[in-house]
Amino acid sequence: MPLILGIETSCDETAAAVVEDGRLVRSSIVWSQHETHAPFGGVVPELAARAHVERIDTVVTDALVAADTTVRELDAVAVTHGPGLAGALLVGVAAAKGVAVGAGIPLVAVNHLEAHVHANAVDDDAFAPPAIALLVSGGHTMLLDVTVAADGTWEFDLVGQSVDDAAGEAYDKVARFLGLGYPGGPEIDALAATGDPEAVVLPRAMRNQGYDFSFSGLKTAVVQAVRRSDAAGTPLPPRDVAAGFQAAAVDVLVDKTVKAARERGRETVVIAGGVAANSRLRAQLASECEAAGLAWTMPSVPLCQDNAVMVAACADRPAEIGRFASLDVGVEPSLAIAKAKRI
Amino acid sequence: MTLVLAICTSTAQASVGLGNRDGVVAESRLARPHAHAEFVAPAIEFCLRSADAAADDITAVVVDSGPGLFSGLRVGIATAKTMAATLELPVVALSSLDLLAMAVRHTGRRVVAAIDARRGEVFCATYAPVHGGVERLGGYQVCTPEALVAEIVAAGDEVLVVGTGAVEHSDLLARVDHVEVGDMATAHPSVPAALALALERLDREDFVAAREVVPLYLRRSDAEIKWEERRSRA
Ligand SMILES: [Zn+2]
Repeated sequence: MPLILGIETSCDETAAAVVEDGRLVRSSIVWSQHETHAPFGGVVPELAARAHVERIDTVVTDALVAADTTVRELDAVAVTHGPGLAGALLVGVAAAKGVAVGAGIPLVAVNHLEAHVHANAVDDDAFAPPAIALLVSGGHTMLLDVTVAADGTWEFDLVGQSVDDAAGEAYDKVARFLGLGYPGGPEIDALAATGDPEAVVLPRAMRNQGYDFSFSGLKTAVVQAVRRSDAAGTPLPPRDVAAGFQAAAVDVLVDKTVKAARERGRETVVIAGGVAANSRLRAQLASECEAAGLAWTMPSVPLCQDNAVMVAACADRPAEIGRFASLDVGVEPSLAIAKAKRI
Repeated sequence: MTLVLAICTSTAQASVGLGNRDGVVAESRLARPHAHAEFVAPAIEFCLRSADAAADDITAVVVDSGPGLFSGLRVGIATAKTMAATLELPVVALSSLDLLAMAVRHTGRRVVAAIDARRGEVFCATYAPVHGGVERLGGYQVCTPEALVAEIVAAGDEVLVVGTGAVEHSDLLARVDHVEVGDMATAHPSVPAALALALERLDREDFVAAREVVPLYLRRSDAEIKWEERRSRA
């Protein structure tokens, strides 16, 4: 029955959470750096590292206070050690080690991508793999076949992934092109809700080719469509561009996810990562799973974005079976998802 | 046993130690490149074990807050402040340059502490000897070694220059006839200096809460510098 403090600093959120038994969220503190990076239109690694080190101790103590506990009651401390920005990861890992050595508790090193998928088990008590997971964020677009290993930890087989930009990256680039704010995902989602998704028809890249994705062409198609209309003197309303872009991106994501579940004989589909907060993706995945007779689970929106609840949840089983990290564990900026062999 | 934990990570040689009125009780140092992140926590554990002590015996944390290597500093500071915050311990944050000068306080001369800042610059500050320690004259600055030499020549005092910046630019500095240049023994902020300064501050209850500790960068990020340049041009 582990009580675990999770720490997450892989990108631009400084987060800490206390989770009991992998499912009971005792506290969750997320300090977003969006305002720091907004003027630059993207995450600036040095500024992210600076912001993390300024706040990490406050975020950790806030999480402990909100959970009405102290480090002396914890069974373990878990931290994201990759993938992510090296300088950002260093801060969280150093902080976690400070807790581990100070409180005399073991350390669990967590893979950020696996943690995102674990967010599905936090909100949904009934959920357990096997399942097909669609992991979509600013850094990754992956289809994973998730199973439970003999020791109770989850295993991930890579079914497909983006061959170029991540879905979230495409959202940010299109948002910037349309003059929207940063981060682009929520901005486009809100604008698209007011537009016509069929007014601007954009290509569904690689829709019928295996399980890989491509999003760099979609951004180019948006730019070309807008320029063509501008040149013709009939500028496209940005809301229709946003809606058309979102429809094209979501169609491909949902199609391939449902197809992977069917072809691999999985009965459940889950989504994870920042883009999993997207309203169209959530609605369309639910309706198409329904139509295909598949069960689905989605984390609540706050648990899709980077947070430390998922880190503590991901560490629950490893902590129970004593799979701890050594105090000299380093950061792994390009850490792959476990057992990510190509299938 | 009451112990103060000291963590110095602003230069290529990281050091961690435990000590009290009796001096350094245990210490560990490492100068392997890019190893600060791996080194600090096991070193704390090693020092505790060597001293036959537990984390509960630690009554305060002293940390080197820079200037120096950005990622090294962040590792030391994140470890120190999170440990202190969660155990509710007071923190003493000390400048790496003050630590360098403190270590050579018995020289009787003026001291210039200089840490290699890369990009052809040094972080530096000047100190005068006072009873029991040193007193900093002016602020911390970042400048070229040539500008530092010009400043030393203009002041005209007998001076000892120490730190990684002194070692890196020893040829240039040694050309000034009233300058002595320190060697590797005085190049890195040290645990004994950190403990000496911290114990005196703790006696005066001159400490801070963990959340107040931030690295002393003395240099903005490249992104901010470029942003300012673009804005001033526009
Ligand atoms: Zn993420």
